[in-house]
Amino acid sequence: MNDVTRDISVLLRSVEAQLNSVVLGKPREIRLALVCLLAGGHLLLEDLPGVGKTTLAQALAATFDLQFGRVQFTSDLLPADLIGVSIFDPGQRRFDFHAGPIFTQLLLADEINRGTPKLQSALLEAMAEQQVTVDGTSHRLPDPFVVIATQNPLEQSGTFPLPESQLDRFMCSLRLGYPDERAEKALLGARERRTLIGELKPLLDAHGLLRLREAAQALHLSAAGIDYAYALIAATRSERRVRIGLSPRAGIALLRAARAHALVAGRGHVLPEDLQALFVAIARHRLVLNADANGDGGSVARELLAQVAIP
Amino acid sequence: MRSPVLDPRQFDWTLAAFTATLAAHLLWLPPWFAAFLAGLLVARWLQRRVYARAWPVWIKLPLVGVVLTLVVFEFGNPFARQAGTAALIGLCTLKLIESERRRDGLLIMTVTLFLVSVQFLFNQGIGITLYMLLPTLLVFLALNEIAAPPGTRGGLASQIGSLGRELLLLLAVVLPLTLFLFVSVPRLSEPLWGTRENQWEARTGLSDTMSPGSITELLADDTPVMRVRFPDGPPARSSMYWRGPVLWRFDGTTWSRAYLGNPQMREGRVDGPQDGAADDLRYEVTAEPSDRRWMLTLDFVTGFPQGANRSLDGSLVRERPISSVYRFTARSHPDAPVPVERFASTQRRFGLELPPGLNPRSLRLAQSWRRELGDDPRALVERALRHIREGGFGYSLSPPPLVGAHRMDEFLFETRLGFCEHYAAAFVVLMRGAGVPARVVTGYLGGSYNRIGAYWVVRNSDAHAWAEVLVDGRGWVRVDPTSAIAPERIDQSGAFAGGDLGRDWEWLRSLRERVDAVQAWWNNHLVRFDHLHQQDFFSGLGIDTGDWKQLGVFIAGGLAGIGLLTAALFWLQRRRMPGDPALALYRQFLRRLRRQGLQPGASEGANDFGRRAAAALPALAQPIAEVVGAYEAARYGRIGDAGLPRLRTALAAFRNASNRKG
Amino acid sequence: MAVAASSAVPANWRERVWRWLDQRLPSLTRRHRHERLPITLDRRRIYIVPSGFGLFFGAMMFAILAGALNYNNNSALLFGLLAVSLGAVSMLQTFRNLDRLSLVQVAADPVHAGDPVHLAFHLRCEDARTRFAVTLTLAGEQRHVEIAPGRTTEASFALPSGGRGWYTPAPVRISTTWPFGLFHAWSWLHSDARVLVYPRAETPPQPLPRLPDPGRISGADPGDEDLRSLRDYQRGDPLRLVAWKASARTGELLVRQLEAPQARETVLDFHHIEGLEVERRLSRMTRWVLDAERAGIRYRLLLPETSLGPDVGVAHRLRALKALALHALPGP
Repeated sequence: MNDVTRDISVLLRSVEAQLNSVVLGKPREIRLALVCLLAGGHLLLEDLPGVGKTTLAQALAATFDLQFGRVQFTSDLLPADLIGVSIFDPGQRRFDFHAGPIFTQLLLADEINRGTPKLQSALLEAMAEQQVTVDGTSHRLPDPFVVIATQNPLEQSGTFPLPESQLDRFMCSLRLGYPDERAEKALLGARERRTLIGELKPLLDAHGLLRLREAAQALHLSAAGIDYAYALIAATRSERRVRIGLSPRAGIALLRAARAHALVAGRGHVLPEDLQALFVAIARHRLVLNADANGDGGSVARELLAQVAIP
Repeated sequence: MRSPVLDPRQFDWTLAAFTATLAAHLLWLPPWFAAFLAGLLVARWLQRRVYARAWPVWIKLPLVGVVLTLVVFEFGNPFARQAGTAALIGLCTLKLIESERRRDGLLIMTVTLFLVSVQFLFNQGIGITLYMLLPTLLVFLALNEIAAPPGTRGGLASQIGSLGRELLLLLAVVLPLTLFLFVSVPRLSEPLWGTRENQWEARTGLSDTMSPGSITELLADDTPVMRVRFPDGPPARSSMYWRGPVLWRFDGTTWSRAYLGNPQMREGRVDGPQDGAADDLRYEVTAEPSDRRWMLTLDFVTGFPQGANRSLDGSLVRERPISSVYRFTARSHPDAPVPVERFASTQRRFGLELPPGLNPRSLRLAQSWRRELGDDPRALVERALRHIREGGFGYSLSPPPLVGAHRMDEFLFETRLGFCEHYAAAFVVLMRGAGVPARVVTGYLGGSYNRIGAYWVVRNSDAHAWAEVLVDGRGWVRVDPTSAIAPERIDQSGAFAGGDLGRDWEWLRSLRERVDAVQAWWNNHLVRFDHLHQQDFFSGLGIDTGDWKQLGVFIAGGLAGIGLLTAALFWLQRRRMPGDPALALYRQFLRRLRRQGLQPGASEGANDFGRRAAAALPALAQPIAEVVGAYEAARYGRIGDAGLPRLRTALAAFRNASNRKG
Repeated sequence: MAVAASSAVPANWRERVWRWLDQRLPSLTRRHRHERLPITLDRRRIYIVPSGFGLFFGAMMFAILAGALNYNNNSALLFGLLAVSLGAVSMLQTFRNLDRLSLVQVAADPVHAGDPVHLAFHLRCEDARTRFAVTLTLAGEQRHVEIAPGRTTEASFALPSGGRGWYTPAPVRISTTWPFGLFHAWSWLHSDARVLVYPRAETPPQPLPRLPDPGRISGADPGDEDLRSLRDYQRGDPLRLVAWKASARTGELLVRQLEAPQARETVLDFHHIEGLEVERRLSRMTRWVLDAERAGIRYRLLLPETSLGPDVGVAHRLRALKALALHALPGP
């Protein structure tokens, strides 16, 4: 570990500490969210309302001093409402582009599965290409551009489930779940979250985040590490309960995220433990199970993780 | 269904295997023929790189004609060994030109294996034999590539560089099996079908002629020619002159036999089987196959078996060539001159013939002796021997070459360095010049005594040439002029004299001797491993080859042993995991902890397991953390294998700590 | 070549022979019985014989050895024996190229009837040896694969699917002639893997049936809905959708295709499709399921034996399609 890695490690420790002071009792999830951010990926939060999804997104934005935007997805929201529109300006005799709320550095797409499929695909295309096209003109989105989408579980009515091919655009998916007893009591006793977030001080800026992303991808990943990642991915493809295993793109996401995880852990190289910490978050929303299989992607991924030996 | 097209890699391997085999045949193929074939192969290779297609018929057919014409033009009879092989090589080259399919490739590779074995009919030296491993290996690598279905690779060729496991395993099993089979395959005591004289195998041995270098070749060859037992005790070594062909004719360069084509001499050749006198020296000869008809005997042979004839010049000739080991008993009257029984005048005339106009100085010298000493053969012989002894002559096995027209003049007056063939030839020329009938006799001198077997072994390296002069009233009397210059050559038979090498060249000589010893070993153990050797070998193991039961048990046992070896190798390989040095060391660490009842889960990483182990064994927490850290750095870190020393140190520290604790 | 399991009349003599062997020598052919995955090949089920080339090679080796022995040429004999040994040991290598090789998974996505079934055979070896040049043969097609240690390798086949229901692939022949093509080793893999074939989705698509919208007066003029296009009439179309004017103009019966309104829920009922035979009903319902999913409309599936939903999403879709595929078919 050289000095730079150590400095980064100290910095990320304080980032984590600050996030943990706002979102209580969820250190693992916070670390995964941070890793996703550092790996340049988008995050999908699948949970019931009111467990701190919004708080987490706002805290991340505040800590990294990112421009924050929030869009509540509903069935009557049109793609133009999200992306923006070109309006004819008779005075200038030309079209002016009025940028939508998507033009922000950290976008919280709340309850994404309430949006229409058209709206969803507009957002996912923007995520994939980091640009939007309106009337044949491309508009570049800011850099960094991070989407944190929240999604209510499928059982709730009035939702449009995201197509599985599009889910691949999210690097990680997390479930925060209810906080444990101690954390929840602390939460009840503490001040209003909103106030707390307002008091958060930026520890880094957008430029610093991009530098950290570069540093993460420069970390060493040995052949043995790649072997293990491959073994995990291959296991999803030959698992009986799984209809569609992890794609090569998912494999790349796993390796990118593993590097970022190693950076957060203050290491110069990727260990199997990094891959293990991330695998479920990477695989859960991507695995499509057979009709007759029990459980969900997360439980299957956890079982595979326990079965596949480290080469 | 048509066989798939050879892809470029398969074609190149095929071409490489065939070319390597062709290269081995260059030792005897005429260079222009080889160059022609090589040109075709290069053209084919270049053409196929551009465009994978067979050559059109209007090119192929004329080429077949050209190749066959060339072969007949060069070798004559197309059914002889050389012509047949050359034609096969030529046709195989042409087959390669039209080979586009895998089936063709497989056919060519099989024929190439045949060409590899045919090569050994021309040369069985150790160097070429070792070389032949290359084309053999290439053939199998080519087969490996060709046999792989389209779109896949055979994989063995890619392992050569890295000494691949599959390849090593294959060889580790194949080599013992080959050697075992080689020893056990029963050799034939008599060939199943005809081997005409000199037809298939060019054995080294005495020839009908003596030209410069022909004996040198023999002197370097340690192959046994025959083994001799003297039941009544051996004669003096200095009289062990084993008589071979007698040479009369001299054309200025080469000595040859006289009566070839002379009906008078041929008709007078025969003396039927004889018993010999009771007090003559009796001996048993076991002759190695020579594919020649000479039966080498001591002078003067008086008793010999059925099927042998004594020729007019005193040599014993068999009716058929000795193509397998041949044993006979003979009697000789030691050191007796060869009598002139018939055709005295013809013999005398042949014994005086000299190439006209050659070697004037030698003839002048001889004539001066004649004028000086008259016509007494003994005096003239003595004078010539004294000339050799005192004329500044030296013995050398590698004398300066004689190149001019008057070679005997050159030798007698300029180089004065040579060995038996020079001295015998020069002496005979001098005698004839002085008017004394003389002839050259070739054969072997002496032999070495084998104390264990109580027999004498005569080897090719014992080859010798000497002279005989006609003394009226006595017959042909042996004179060995070499003894005048190198008496030790006569007394210490079998010694490899080479006395001209100085001290500085000692290393060279010792190297030459070593190479010679390897070649001799090779010849004795491999090339000459025949019916009798095989019997010897098995009796050394206490097995009687005549007893099928014993032999069967041996072969079954040997095969079972090799089978066990194979199984063991395969088993070892099955157990072996993909090798990573850091992982191997980490496994040692795990074995150690297993004794403490700690075992990692299937998917438990070193970091997690290390923490668990440290918690379970707080006393060892520090060394465990160190091992885990070093292992992770070496296996997953940028440092890689350079981190192994640290891991070893950490592992040793952990062992020490756990020993102290235990 | 026909698939052996399904064709009544054997396609050629080879198939006939195999069929006979299946009946007479099941333990030899192992084509008769499904096995649970993973199937690991071992010596009891790998067969090996010399190939045609192997026989030719053997004859040539015999000639070389006979010649070498006759002329007592030991070098030639040695090299002949070397070649023979390599050949003999290659038999073991050929065997080992299949030995301990596992078929761990036969992956296949459910398909609609009429579409080809894509079968991916996942092969794996757990020891340290690479298996070179392994051939899988199924229905006359061959795939060649190389299986690296610890890696899963797939061989994919596309086969005609036949009708809806469970599709069971014919036994796969796995073979190799590695390393030298002298020997041919093979085994049969007859896994219990099966693929669900959904009914064919009807084309052209029919509009989804709609529930009566409580906010709208039943029987109102549908003309106020967004007209998207006109298409040919098909049996089962509601008469109110027929575009009479346009039909009169063109002489063909046309119906109005309407922009799907923001319907949130629908019922796909087997019994409500009238005048069609069972397979075409299933085909239409299959199309509806797909369309409903695409539009994100919740739907209920009503079949004579089952009722599913209302729901929407991957899991529901899969359940619905499975029910449609297996409707009125004998149990698995």
